[in-house]
Amino acid sequence: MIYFRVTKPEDSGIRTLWILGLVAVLASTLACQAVLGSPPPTPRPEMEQAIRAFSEAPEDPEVLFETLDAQIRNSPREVEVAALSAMDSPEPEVRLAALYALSLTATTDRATAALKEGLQETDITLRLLAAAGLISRGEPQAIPVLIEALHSNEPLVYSEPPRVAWVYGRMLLIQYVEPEFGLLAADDFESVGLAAEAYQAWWEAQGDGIVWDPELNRFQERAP
Amino acid sequence: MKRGRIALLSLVAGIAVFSGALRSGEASPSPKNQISRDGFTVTITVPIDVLGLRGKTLRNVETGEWVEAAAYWESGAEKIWNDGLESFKFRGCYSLRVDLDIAPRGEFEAVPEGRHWVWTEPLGFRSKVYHGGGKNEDTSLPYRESRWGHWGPIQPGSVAHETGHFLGLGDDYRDIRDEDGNLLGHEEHPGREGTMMANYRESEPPDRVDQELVDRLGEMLAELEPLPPCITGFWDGTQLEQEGESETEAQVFFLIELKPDENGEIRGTATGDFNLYGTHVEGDCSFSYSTSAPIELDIQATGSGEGPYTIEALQDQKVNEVQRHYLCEQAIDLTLDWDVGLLIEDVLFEDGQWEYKDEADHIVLGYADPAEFDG
Repeated sequence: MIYFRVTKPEDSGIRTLWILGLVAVLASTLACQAVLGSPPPTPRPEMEQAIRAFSEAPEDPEVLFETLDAQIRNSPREVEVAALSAMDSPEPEVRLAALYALSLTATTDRATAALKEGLQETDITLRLLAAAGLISRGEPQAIPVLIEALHSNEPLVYSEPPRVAWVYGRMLLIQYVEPEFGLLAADDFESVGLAAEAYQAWWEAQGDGIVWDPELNRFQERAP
Repeated sequence: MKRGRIALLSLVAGIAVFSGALRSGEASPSPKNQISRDGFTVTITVPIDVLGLRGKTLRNVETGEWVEAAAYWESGAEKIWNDGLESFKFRGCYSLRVDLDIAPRGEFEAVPEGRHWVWTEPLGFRSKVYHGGGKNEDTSLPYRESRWGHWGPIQPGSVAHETGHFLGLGDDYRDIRDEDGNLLGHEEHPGREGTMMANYRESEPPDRVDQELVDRLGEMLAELEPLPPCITGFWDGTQLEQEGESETEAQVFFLIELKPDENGEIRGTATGDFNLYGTHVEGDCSFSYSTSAPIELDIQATGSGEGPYTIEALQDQKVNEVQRHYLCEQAIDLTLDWDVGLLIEDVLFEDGQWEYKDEADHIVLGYADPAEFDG
């Protein structure tokens, strides 16, 4: 049995040293963290670089995403901090990468607040990334953005597989909201639009009448 | 007395094929995707550990029910692949099957060596498999190394597409960019529209498998496992001879059927007819003659790698006959003595397609199972 992680060789070496040489320090650090809460990690320059590398329309974005995905998997806390610091970039491509990373890593109130700010982005891809991060954490502010997306046929940048907005919005609503208002059966733009109207009416009528079930990982209608 | 000649009919054609031992039910030494063969059924087992999937449910978009994600993905994606593969054969012989082995694991659980791994994430904005090749490249790397990716709350159709990457297939769509390099969207490669690895932005991915996908998969398997071909076709040949004013025209029509035997040797038969027409002229006298005979030759194909292949008869068949004719009222016993053989050299296939070669000799050979060949 081996433990798979996506790391650069030098990272593995550093970790090995930590494990072998600093067990006592780690143990005491963990003990302190258990009492005091962990301090925010310091972002490593390569992580911020992995996000800001999106600024110049990349020749091969797959390579950039592969690097970023590996960092998200291995060092989510550090990536979260790096993504937060990149959220003030004037370049939408950088904010897209930052929102993507933040949506996958957010653990702090500050990160959640940044995602909520992301709902105000003008680009629908950015708005939906923020909404995805929020709805998967039980934040209902994402729902109206996802309903709005059901009316959009706009392609999402860097979506994999390539999708338009309504397809992605439909997927998230189906998975994270129990009431479905015909969205399951609606599988084309026109019929999804009809389901969206029913969703919208429901949302306006009882926006806070739903509750997040952390066990089931989805919104349920509040019991009467 | 007039004697016939050897009808040794040889041709130059071209085919690219692999040869090697056919081993039934034997797993290849490939450490990741496993290839096993049972006769002419080749199964690719794709072992994927999915971190964070244990205990997770997904909504089945067909029924609306919440279902256990691992089983839903495994059975759904496997069915999509195998339903699609069912109608096609690789190199005329081999039915390909996919055995998807998805193991749900805890988020940071150890993954046994020899398995691919995927981590689950809640967005599903980019469900990816980094298969080791470029976006649009096929690579056999997943058959030699563990590969990885991450999947969101996707449906079996998307899992089937992503499994295609673990099978080594690249995407059949490309990015469209503006003059500044900004991504505008995607378009399918010409001819790939509606197939499994093509674009699927409007809904779930298409589940159509076609011969090209089967051939691309098979070529990767053939890097690791010899898959000698089934070759079927025909040869409608003519050989003319002239001696003085006498003429002979020999015609053969062969149905050629070759298939790997249990030792991996490509053996079969060439069956058909031999027809001979002639005119014998001496001075002012002449007579015409003809004969025909059914032919059945045991044949084999030899070659390796990408060819060339040689198809030849293991033994010629004799056609021997004595006919009584009259040359200006003089009785003559004409002995027709022919050896009918077969030799086709430099046979190469191009991408598994039918090979029409040398129209003058009317040879058509291609990948096809003799049992299913209808000419």
